[in-house]
Amino acid sequence: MIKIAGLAKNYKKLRALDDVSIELREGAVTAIVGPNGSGKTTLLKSILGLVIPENGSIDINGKSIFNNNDFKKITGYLPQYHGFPSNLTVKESVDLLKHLRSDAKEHDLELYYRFGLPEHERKQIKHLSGGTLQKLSAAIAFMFKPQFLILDEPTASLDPWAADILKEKVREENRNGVTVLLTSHIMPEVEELADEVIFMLEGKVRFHGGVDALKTEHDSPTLEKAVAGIMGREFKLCTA
Amino acid sequence: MKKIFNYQLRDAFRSKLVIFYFIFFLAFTSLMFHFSGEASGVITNLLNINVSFIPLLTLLYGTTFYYNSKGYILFMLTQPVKRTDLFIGIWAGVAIPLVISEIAGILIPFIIFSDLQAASLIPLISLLVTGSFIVLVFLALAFFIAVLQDDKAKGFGLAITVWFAMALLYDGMILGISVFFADYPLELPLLVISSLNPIDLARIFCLIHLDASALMGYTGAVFQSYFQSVTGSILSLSALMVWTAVPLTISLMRFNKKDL
Repeated sequence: MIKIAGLAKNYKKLRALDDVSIELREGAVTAIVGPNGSGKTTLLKSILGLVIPENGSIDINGKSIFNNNDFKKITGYLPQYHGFPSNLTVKESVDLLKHLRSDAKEHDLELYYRFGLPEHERKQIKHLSGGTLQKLSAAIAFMFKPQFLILDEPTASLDPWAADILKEKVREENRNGVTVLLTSHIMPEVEELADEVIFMLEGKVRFHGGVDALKTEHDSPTLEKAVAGIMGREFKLCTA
Repeated sequence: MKKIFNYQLRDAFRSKLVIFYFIFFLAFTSLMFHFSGEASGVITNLLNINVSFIPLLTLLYGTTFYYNSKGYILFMLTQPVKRTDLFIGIWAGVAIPLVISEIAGILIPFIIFSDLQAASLIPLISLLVTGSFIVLVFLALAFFIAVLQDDKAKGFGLAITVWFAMALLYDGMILGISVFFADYPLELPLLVISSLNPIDLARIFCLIHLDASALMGYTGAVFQSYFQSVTGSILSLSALMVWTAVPLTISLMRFNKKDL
C-alpha cells in the first residue's frame, strides 16, 4: 500500500503541494486529475523520488521511499516523454534496463511483442517515431512485472489500436493485483480504467474517492462533466 | 555505475561530436605535419588548440549534452539506480570517448608521419596528458554549470563566460600584474595565481616538457624555473586532478539534492 502523509513542496513562492495526505488502495487503479499546475506532476515525481518534498512522508509497503531505492525494483513507470539515449538501439536500451534490474528473474514481454517492437530492435532511438518510443516506454514499464505501476499520460502519443492494447494490459495487470496510479487529461480514459479519482487543485487534494461517488456527488452522467463541475465551482470560489 | 558507464560509452562513441573530435585532431595533426614536418612545431600548434578551442568546445558540448539528457536522467532515476552512480556514470561515459578520440586523433598522425624519437616522445606524452585533462576539467565544469543552471540559454551564456574568463581574461590579468608589479618579487604569487587556472596549468605542464616556455609568456617561464623536476610535474597534474574533482564533486552534491 502507498501512504502519503502531510506532503508539502514549494517552488520558490509557488506552493506545488500543500499538505497532501492520501492512501492508495492496494490493487486499485487510481487516477490523478486536475488542471495544469495543480500539482499532479509534482506528486508523481515525489512518489518516484525525483522531487524532494520539504515536509511529509511517502511509505510504500510500510517503508519510507526517502533515501531508499528498493521500491523502484517493484515499480514500473511509463513517462509522458521517453528518456533513452538517442544513439543506442532499441535492443541496447532494453538490455541496459535488464542489466539495471537484474533482480527481476522473469520478464513480461507481452507488450514488447504485441507492439511489434522486435522489428525495430536494431534501430537507434533517434530514428524512432514518437508513437514507437511511447510503445517502447510502455513495454518497459510492464517488463519487470511491477507490483506498482505509475503511468503518466499513458496513451498521449499512441494510435487508437496501441492505446487499446495498453488499456487492456493495464486492466489485466490490475486484475492480477497490481496497484496503478495514472494521470490523464482524457476523462473517458480515466473513467474506463480508474476505480478511484484524486482531484487536485493548487497543490491540494480536493476530492479522493470512487469514480461513481464523484459522478453522484456532482449529479453528472460522465466523469468529464463531474470534473468540469468541480473545476467550475473551485474557480468561482477563487474569483469570488 | 559500471553498467551505466558501459552503455553511455556506446552512446557517446556514436555521437557526432566524438567523431568530429577524432577527425578534427586527425586532420589538423596530419596537416601540421604536412606544413611543418617538425614534431615540436606540431606539438606547439596542438597545444594552442588544446588551451583555446578545446575548452570552449568541451564546455558547450558538455552543457548541451546534459540539457539534452534530462529526459534520460529522469527516466533512469525512476529505475533502481543511485543518483551518484548515474551522474558519475554519465560524466565518465561522455569524458572517456572524448579523451580517446583526441588521443587517437593526435597519435595516429604522429605514428605515421614522425619517427617518434625520445626527444619528441616526452613532449607528445605531456601534450596528450594535458589535452586529456583539459577535456576532463571542462566537462566537469560543463556539468557543474548545467546542474546549477536549469535555463539552457543562461547555461550556455555561463559556459561561454567561463571560457572567456579562463582562456583570455585570466592571462591578461596575469600579464597586467606582472607589468604593474614588475619591481616586486612576483614568482611565488604568480605560481599561486597560475595554479588557479586549469588552462595555464595545462599549458605550463606541456611547456616544461617542450622547452619552449619563453614563447608562451611570462607564467610559463616562471613555472619552468620552479617545476623542471618530477615534483613539478606531479604538482601540476595533482592541481589538474583537483580542478576535475572539485567542480564534479560540487555538482554531484547539488545533483543529489536537486528536484528533477
